[in-house]
Amino acid sequence: MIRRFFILTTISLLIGCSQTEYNVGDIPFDERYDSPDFKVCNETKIEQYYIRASTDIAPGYQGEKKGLEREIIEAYNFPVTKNEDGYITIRFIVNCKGESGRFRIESMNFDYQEKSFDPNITDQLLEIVKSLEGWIPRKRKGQNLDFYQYLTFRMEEGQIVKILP
Amino acid sequence: MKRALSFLLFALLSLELFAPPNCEVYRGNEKCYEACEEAYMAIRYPQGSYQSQIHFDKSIELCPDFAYSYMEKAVPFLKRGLFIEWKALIDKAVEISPSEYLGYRGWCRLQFLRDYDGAIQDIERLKSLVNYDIGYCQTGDYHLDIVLALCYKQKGNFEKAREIFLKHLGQEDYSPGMFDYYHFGVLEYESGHNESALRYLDKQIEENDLLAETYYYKALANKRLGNLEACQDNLKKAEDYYRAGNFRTDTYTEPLDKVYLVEVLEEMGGI
Repeated sequence: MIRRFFILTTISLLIGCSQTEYNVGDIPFDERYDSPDFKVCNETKIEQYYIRASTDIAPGYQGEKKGLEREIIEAYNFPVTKNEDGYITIRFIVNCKGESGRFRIESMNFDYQEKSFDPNITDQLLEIVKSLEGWIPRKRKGQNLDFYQYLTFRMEEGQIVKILP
Repeated sequence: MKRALSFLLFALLSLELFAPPNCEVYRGNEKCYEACEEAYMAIRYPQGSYQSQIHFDKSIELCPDFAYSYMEKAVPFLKRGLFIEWKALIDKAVEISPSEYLGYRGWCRLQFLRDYDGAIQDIERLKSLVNYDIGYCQTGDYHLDIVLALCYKQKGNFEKAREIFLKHLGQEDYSPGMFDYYHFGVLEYESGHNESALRYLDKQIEENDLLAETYYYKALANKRLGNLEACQDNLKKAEDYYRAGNFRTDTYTEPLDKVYLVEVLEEMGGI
């Protein structure tokens, strides 16, 4: 159910782009799904994780990506459903305090076609990603900034075989 | 100066890295000429911005066979994790101009999705279509033959990966890529050829001594050979290099055969 909610949001967002002048991948607040407690520092200046000036301190995760991976793998319980292959991507915002919010999910098979995974997998991954607390915000001129991040899970037979990017 | 460099980097990351086509080529076809001009309009705006995407849409509407606009419109979807949308667009570019975009799509499939089979299919198809050098990946780090070898390596087909590596490295006019010897050294280590691994990792150091990772794998190969002192020395060097910021990094994704500081430290603790 939650998965459907997020997929619908993503689709409506993409369709809505032409009317509301969103950039690719923007995640505006949606009261139907997003917690009002999650605040960004500057709604008009949320940059992608890969955009950075040379003087920026890049965004990241405590313990680098290896630390992030280990937290996720440790928390993930191998589900009963074994024949689940493809990619699950969770996009979200990390705010200037290192808190995360506005999560959106897109999942596909290995032919890049939309696919629904067993909710035991998607809901679990979503909860794990929501619980990650080690995000380090981007820093520019001494100021912390919000950024967009995504995590893609390559799944083979229900197991996480790679976490990207 | 620092500020200027900072803005230059920012601009490079925000803008397109594929050169737009010469619109004069389309002079005989008014619609496609206009489409080309729309593409130029699109790249005046930040990549992935509403305005940029709208101009690419207009470009595609004017000339549905204008491959460049599909490819460029696709890029922000790729970088922002919207892979279904990316694939639909890049497939159009490949359909229209396979020899131009197959290598690029193959590289993206490896870099962003670790889609080894998809990358192999694309690069092999490119090789079957052209009779010239298939060239380098988008970042310029690897020849596409090395990309192919890396895909086979990641799939565990070490024999095939080794065959491609050796053929490429043995070419008369071979010019070493930034990380070719490193990856081949890692492959040799993973294949159990520890002495050969050390030879190629040393070659990497001769060519480009910038990576903590090279010393990490030297340490592992030495450990297997029972050279514990050399193992320790190399781990220490790997740690020093890492702490000095000399390690594999990429703006968008995790580089292949990346090693993290925690792995170096854990290996040190395990000796």
